[in-house]
Amino acid sequence: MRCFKELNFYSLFFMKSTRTLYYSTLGLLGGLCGWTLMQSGFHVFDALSISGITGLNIVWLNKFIYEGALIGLGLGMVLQARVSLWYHHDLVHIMSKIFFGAVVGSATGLFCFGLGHFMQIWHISPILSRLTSWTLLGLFIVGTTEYFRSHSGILLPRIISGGIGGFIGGGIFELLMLYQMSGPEHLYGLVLAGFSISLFIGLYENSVTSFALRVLTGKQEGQIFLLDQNSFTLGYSSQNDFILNGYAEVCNLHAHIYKKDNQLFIENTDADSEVLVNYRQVDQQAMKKGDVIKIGTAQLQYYEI
Amino acid sequence: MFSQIFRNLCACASSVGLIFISVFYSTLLPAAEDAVTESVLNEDDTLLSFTDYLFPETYFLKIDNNPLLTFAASLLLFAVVLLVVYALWYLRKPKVSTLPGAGFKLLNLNEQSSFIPLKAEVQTLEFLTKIQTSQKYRLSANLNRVTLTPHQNTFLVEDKNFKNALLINRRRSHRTILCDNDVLDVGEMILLYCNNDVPAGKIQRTTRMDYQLPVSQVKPKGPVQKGTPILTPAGSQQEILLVRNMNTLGSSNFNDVIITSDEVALIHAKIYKVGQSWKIINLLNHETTTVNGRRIDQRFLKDGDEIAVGDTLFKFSTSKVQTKQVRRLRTETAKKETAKKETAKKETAKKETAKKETAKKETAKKSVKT
Repeated sequence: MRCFKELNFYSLFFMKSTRTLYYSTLGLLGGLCGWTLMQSGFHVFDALSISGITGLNIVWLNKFIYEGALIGLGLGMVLQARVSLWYHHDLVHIMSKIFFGAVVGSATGLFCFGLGHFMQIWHISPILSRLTSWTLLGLFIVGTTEYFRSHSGILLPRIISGGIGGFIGGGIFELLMLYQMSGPEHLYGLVLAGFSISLFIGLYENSVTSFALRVLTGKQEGQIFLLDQNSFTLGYSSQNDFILNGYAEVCNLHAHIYKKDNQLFIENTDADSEVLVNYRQVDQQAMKKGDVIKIGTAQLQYYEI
Repeated sequence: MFSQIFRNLCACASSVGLIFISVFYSTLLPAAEDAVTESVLNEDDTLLSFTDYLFPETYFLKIDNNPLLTFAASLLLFAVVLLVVYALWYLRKPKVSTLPGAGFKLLNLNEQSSFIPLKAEVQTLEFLTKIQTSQKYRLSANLNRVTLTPHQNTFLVEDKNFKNALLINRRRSHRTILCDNDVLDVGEMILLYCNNDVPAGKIQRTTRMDYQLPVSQVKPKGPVQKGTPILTPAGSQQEILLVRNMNTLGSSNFNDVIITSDEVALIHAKIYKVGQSWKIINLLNHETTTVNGRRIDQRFLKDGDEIAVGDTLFKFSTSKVQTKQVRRLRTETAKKETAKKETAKKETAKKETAKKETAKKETAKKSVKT
């Protein structure tokens, strides 16, 4: 009976690629979400215009507005929750993230596509303006997800990779529109745009990851945290990068892991509780390959390539 | 009330838009201005024309006028997508294996580990040599001297040989009752003991809960030479300078480096200078001193070596001592400043005395005159 997967270069590579695939699937689903919402929104819009509520149907539910907003909603909803989905957080937590991402995503979609529309009014060529609005959408959605996700703050390269993904996705969308592909070209375009945004984020994260933490005991046994940032927080609350849920004596913000000179350090952030590295209490220490870290009752093993 | 605020906001937004338009395309300006004034001043009917001007009928994403799906179908598809997301979430659920009875799991990193069940009988750890592993691990030859005896649903580990490299929770121990989630180091193998019947907190083992830095040192007097080696205990930023040529380590107060621990002997080890290099020597045969994980008797030390005396870890480094020099500079500057102040004080005092003297003379002259 297997208990733990092996941890070496190849297994980590495999894990990273599956994560990228997972993220890209999520992006694809986000695009599909946006498309279905657009389709249903069209009907809603139609019904409103027939019922004839003046001032509502034409001015504030202008078609382009809701199109941009719904694309943003679909993509933001899924991209906000991608990390929580990957680490299998609580469903309530994920629902709140999805709701938040939907609101923020629709706002950013509104802003970006509105800007593109204004550019068209200023006689900038429509293809260029659409491409800029797609790029901006990628930038902003990834930026907001990074900013609101955790303690770690804004990570510029990741946001830029999101922007590149948006640019390429928008380009595909434009090409499909240009050649008048048979079938629902909006669907293909949106799905590919979502896919490329999340793929580029995943590729960037893969290039950074070379450290991992494996959970040895308890509820999350066998889970592997891939460390792909310069600083992480570990703890019980949902604001953390890595959430240790279902363990006794783990406090809200328990430990802080940061990279310095290509070496990882662990730091105890809570004065009342303790972090043990190799069963020795620690304030701040560099970690070695194979170290056993004990946080509350949870035990973690550290791995690096 | 609300509509008024709304209209004001509208006016602000449209004026900002106008500024942009005027920058880019000046001939549009008069028409747009008319539209704004109309929209703000008049009723809702004219608002329509203004928005028509800003957002013309060429829809941005060119959505079809006859969509593919009906309303119900699109909502259904949306629900299906959400379901797929839920399924993806469910796929990532960690598989917790609730195994009956006691056993070991291999924790070595390159290992696809399997559960090794333990029978409830007296046995030795020799079965570890028979486990199939992807690579050979070095194990002690005397594993038959380590016995596991059943004891209240768990096992009692007894190490009857001092030379076995057996650590339980990364500490040397000769007799221990195993709890759930204990980590055993047997040679190069790392094992995790699992037993669901006995959770981790159930058996009370004597542990020192009060945490204080276990290592202390008599503070060196005077300036520190270049190249004095530094010992840093694991888990803290404390630095111990080995000032003398011969330093003893141990739990007694006579030592140069005092380690308060149960597993350190009164005089445990010695670090001394041999020519330009440093050497560590273990002073008692039945106690352990290790360098880089190897039990040693005596050994030359290099920069970055890890020394373990009993259960206390150190890092040995022979880098240059710079902190003292900086401090000395500071004190020098402080001295200079104080000297300056003193000279200034003296000058002012001199001036004052001179003034007083002149004043006295004058008063004396006046008195003479009168």
